[in-house]
Amino acid sequence: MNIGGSGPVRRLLGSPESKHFLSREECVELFNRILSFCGGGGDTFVSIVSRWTGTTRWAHNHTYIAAETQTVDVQIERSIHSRGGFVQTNRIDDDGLREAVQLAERTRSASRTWYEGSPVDPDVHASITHPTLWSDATFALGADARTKIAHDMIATALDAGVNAAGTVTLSAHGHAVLATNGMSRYYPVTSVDCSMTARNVSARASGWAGKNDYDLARVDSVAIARTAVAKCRNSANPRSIEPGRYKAILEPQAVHDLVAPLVERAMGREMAEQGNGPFVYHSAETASKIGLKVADERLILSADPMDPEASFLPFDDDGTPFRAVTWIDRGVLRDLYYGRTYAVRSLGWETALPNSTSFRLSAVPDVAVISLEEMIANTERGILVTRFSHVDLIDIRSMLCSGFTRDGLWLIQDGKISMPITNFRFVESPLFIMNRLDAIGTPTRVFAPDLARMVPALAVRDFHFTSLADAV
Amino acid sequence: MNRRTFVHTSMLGVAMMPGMARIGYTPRRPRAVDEPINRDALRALTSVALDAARQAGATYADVQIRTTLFEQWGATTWDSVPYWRVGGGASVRAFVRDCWGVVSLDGAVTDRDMARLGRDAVAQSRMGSVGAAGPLEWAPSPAVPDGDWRMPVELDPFVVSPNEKHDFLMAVVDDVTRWDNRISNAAARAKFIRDTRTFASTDGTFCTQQLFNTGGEISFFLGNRQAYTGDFLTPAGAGWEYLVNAPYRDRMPRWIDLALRHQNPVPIEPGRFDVVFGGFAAAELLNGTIGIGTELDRALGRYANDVGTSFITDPLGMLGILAVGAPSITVTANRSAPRGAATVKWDDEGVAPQETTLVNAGVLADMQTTRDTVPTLKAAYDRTGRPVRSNGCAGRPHASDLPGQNASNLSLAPGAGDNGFDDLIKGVKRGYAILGNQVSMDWQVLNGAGRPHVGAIFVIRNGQLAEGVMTHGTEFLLRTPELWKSVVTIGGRSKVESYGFVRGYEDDVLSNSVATAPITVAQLRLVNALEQH
Repeated sequence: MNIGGSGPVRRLLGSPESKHFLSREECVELFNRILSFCGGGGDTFVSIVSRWTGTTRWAHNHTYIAAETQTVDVQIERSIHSRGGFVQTNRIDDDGLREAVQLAERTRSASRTWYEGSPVDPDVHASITHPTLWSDATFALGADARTKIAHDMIATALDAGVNAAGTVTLSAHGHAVLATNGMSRYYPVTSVDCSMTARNVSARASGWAGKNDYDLARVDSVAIARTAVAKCRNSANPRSIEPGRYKAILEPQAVHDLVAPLVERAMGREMAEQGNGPFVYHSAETASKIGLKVADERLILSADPMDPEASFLPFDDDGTPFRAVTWIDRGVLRDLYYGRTYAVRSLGWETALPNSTSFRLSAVPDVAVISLEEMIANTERGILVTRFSHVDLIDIRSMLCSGFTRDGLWLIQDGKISMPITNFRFVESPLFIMNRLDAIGTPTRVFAPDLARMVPALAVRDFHFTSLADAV
Repeated sequence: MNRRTFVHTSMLGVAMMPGMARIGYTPRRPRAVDEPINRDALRALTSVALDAARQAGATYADVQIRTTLFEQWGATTWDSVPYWRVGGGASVRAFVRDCWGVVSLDGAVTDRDMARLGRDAVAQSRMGSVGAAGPLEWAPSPAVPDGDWRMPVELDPFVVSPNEKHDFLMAVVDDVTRWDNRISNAAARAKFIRDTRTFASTDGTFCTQQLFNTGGEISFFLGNRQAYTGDFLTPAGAGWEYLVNAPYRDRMPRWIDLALRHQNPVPIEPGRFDVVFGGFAAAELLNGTIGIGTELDRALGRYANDVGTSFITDPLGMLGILAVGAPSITVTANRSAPRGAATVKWDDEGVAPQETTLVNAGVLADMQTTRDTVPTLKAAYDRTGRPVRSNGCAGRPHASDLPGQNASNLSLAPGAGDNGFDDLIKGVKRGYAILGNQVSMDWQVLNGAGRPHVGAIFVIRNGQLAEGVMTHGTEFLLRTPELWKSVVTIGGRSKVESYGFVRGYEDDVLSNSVATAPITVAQLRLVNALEQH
């Protein structure tokens, strides 16, 4: 197929075919129809995300729903004389589009807001990278393939005498950004999300595993099921131990669950320079912590749409290209994202640095990484964490979060897993743990639907488990 | 009364609304929008889908067609900005034996689309079947062959012009800003949803209904502190009148008094204290614990792999047995409640909701159910002679979402007497009062933490409301059954108010109302999470 070219899909949403999304040509045709309904000149910006999704869900070792949905989301922004109006619709028939345009123009007339957009953004014509995000084989799969995946995963649970609940989702999307200023982007993507929870018959033990990627060939569903089942079996009859500070061996998914709020909510340059978030710093040279050490010097936090293990859509919702960026390099904060308005007005630059929220957290190349098993073997007394759940940000300045351990928690004694233990509530900050590292593992792809995230296991000193939480 | 007459009489009602002239807002004649639901066309579309499903071998099939308009306005002292979202689509659900097949399509649909959805839903059902669960059990419900209902609102917000909305919100912001010279900044927000739903099934049901949801917010800063106003204008099954009649002027003195108490807030003193929860805070507690925990699909483990399960781990075995609160705790669920944010005439399975008692004198009595889930409770229902019938909780945010449950409108039975918030405070010598909070529970809705909203927690000293408490880092820890067993006082009937909540995204229609009076909880554990680390 021609990645980034005309796209693999020619079928129109709403036609008799059961599985399709909008091609580049169809998006352009849709854009031209929108323009035909616009009156009074000005600029028009349109973002289109169309998606086919096939989902199979099961619980208690039995599939209870198999579904296919086709959705489309069209965002229309009209600006005339520096005043903008915005509307979102999923109706792409003529009447629906005409009504949406009228609403956008009516919004514009009701609003006195100065429109921040600019017709001279140099990123409009900048080329994008072309990561591999499409799998013909994955797109070709239907409900029968999802059923086969569910069947094999359920069989693993049945063999072990445990109950499984899980989801497998195959989808294909087309992302388009088109504007009268010349912006023209389109990119097709396939994706696979697969996860399973195994619980024993008494519902007193639980295990989980999951992964997402663009290609089903890169997601081993049976391995996911085996991991979930093994964690469930090894979690039976947990004992309670005292809450407190323990050395924690965080599996990659647990590290992800704690680092994700940092990447999603705290990496903005504008917020830092305006006095918010964890990267606020005031000196003669800088208004943020850019250039300062914020994490262990063995760590790198980066994002690259061309990352062969964690590629992602090469432009953001505005069509601005994502470039390879290193946010944290050897523990030093190197960059924070910013929009174009902030770049032009406050930084004196012409282009934005967008944040994809996909990321790779890894050790610097010259640092030895060790396996999870070695981390456990090197631990005299500690706790092995599968993942965290219900992580809430308490304090954005410190990035202090609270949440719960979930789906597998074990006490480590004398270098070995000694017993399953009751879940804990915790209070911790990703920035604190990134400064209390004993060891770093090799990054692996974790479960983060619609995103690409590579995260290592970490051995962390003095992780704060604050109280017992008896949910299973 | 036809739509045009309704609009006209409603306009007269709005024109007479009290107080509006004082704030420089003049109601105008609404746009006489006449958008009748084309029921014949909808019936034809649904018939095509159901016929196709039948021909493909469906044991049962239903179809939903939705059009949802969402509008939101944010106003500050210098401008207002609107945002519109138009959503619509169709979905067909069918089963052949033991697995639901669901197919949906966004946007306007044609006969050809509907026939394809009907066929494909059956194909999904056939292909999706794995495991040995046996035939899908499906509770009966009386057919509604020709139902049509419009939520009784005085004025459809979507016939009010954008300019009028702008003028109204700007007038409110201006009025609040001028109220007190210590007010440094003010803002107002409004949101409106109009959701037109058509449902038809192979049981012979065909019904259409138009639902409304209106909510808003008024906020201001007194000095450099944000005043607490969070319990005002929460989402309700209401129209434009809910906004323009909102008695914010009556509330201003109270809001200013509370904001003054928060000018120099003190840190929380960690420990166990009696806590008085205002009605809104109590409603959030109820919604986030017993409310979510009694959703049967969740308790059955259908979402064990994502959002979670419930502390009611064995619904069938626990009905009539599990103590989830003090004997004073009785909770009912009712999606027919007037002005309820979850109120419908028929749910997403064509069921007319009925009130049910979820918790009776502290003991679990029923669950929030659908036709799809309630058969699992048959043995317990048979014991008490209750018919196996859904209480009408089927729902989903949009047609393209998978079928699930919509939280019901909940109600906590009031206590004896007529105590209100101030009376409950008089009964506490040393403790705290919370007017609004967010509750974050674990995946079993068992353990969790509550966080007071900004400016919404106060010291109680010798039965008096005293100074404000810093909200940053302040949490109370809870375990669902113990929390409700520790309720020592519930306010009286005349103090019950209804509050709306939205689950998920702001433009989702999965909202519900919770009616409670204030409550006092004994010896709740409060912590400073920032010091916990």
